[in-house]
Amino acid sequence: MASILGKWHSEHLESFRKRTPKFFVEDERLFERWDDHHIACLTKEFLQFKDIVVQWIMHPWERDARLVHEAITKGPQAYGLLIEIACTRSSEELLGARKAYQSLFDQSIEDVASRLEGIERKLLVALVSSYRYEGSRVNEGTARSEATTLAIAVKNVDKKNPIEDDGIVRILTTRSKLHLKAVVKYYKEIYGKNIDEDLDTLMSLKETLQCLCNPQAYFSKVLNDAFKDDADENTKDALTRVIVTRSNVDMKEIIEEFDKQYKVPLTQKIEDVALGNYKDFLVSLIRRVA
Amino acid sequence: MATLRLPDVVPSPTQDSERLRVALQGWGVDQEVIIWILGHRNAVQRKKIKETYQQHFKESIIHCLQSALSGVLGKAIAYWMEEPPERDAKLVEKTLKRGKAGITQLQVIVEIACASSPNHLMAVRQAYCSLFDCSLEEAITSKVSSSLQKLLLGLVSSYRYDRELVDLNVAKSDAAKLHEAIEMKQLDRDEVMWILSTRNFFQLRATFEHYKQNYQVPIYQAIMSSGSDDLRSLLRVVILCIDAPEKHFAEVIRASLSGHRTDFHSLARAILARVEIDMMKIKEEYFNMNKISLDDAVVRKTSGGYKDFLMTLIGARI
Repeated sequence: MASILGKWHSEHLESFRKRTPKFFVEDERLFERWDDHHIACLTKEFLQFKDIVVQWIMHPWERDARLVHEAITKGPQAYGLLIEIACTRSSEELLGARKAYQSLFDQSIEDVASRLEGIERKLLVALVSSYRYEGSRVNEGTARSEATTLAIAVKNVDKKNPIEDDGIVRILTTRSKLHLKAVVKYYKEIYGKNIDEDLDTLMSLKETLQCLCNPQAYFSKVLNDAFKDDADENTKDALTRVIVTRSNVDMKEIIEEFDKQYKVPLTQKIEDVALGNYKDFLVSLIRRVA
Repeated sequence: MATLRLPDVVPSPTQDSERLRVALQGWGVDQEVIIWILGHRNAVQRKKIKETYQQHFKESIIHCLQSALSGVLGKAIAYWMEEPPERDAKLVEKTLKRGKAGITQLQVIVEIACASSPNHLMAVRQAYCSLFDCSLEEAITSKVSSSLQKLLLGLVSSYRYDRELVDLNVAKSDAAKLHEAIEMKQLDRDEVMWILSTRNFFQLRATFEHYKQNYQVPIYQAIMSSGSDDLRSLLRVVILCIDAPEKHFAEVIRASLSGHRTDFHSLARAILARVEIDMMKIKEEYFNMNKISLDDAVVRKTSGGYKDFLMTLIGARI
């Protein structure tokens, strides 16, 4: 584009404007006026394209550190993003994000997190500080008893919010992901239902467990929310974020899950909402793994 | 400052390995040579010797040392040869395995979390996962009493900023929050744990200094005066390790040397952990506390190769 447009003289540019009535309308004061809506679309597309290129090239540690910083700056509405990063990254990736955060912002993440507002603080500080065991060993007895601990905490939600319970926070922030999957399994065995259903009013806990135990389902939902017509800017930004951050991790499984959940291929939804180079980039990142 | 002395010209790891092999395999094990070589090599050099020895002789040097050297000397030298993160991970595991761990045992964890660099603590966490199939935090959860768990978990989870960045306003407000918690006898508050676990060490020292200036008493004294329980004893160790680790280690060494029987394990642990960091300061502190030099105390209470090894490390023996 730059090499073609950059060579045009003013006559070429005028001729181009006159020959594209879809974008340029002859104004009553005798100039070819660019349609406002189209300018806005182009700006957005270039911005989205810039964002995706920058995020894609950036080192994953720096990318995550900047996302964390953005979430912290935005406040409680963005705590979900902190949970997402702390729970869907591997132990080494999360450590990397902590290192990058120190280089970029001259503080440790947990230092900043300890000064956040809201009851989620205890959970968030512990989540960003975790370094989980990633091997295959699971103590089934402990998993079973922790399922019961969770059930009791959920039942007593009126007396005390589980998110403020040291024991619950400890289970969620120190156990390995495999162990927590076993806890969820025992919960279903003992109480006959998925723990998700009982956590509906406790969003942070629900998101935490989902990110840890079933990240593909979590990311499918985030993507689906981003495609909705009434999605706000933050929600829409998730499209870039999810595709870029999961492309080298579990994009294939997310595509399958999305298909299963929403009965529409992910690539098609992207074609519906994204434009131009931004769309092409998204599609090519997905195609690498499909 | 370190007391470990290195030779002006350090022999190559191959030369060292060969001389050690001869010392280990000869008619009688040549302790002198072993102490002479290993007692004058830093962590990086010891690691190279270990790798070279393994390559050349297809055997672990630690294994050979443990077989050849008996008793406390063998244990101390094997300990010295371990990579510090693995060494500390194994130390914590052994400490926790013992059953009801009191302050004297748990302070080992505090030392690792508060008296060494954030990168070292992180390396210990990584080593623990590799070695023991669970995270350090999980081990603490299953073995430590609940009143102390929260503080220890917070401390070992930290990855503190490692540069000298101090905000005096934060020092002031943190000191006030700590003061309030002490006055209200609510030392198990989340905020106490967060302040001690998440702030960088320089910030915390500034906070403790501010506390002393504002409330006319050092913070660890204020804590000890407010009551006596395990949590307060542990908090005292935490603050000492952050603010003046040389005082803490001088105390550990004194405790290991006092009494009828010398605690060889704790003595070796404290000395070996600090010879490359701040052993000179510890020696000064020891002298201030006990009016006898550490060198003299070690001579009086230990003997044989073990004594020679420790004396070499603390710079009292060429």
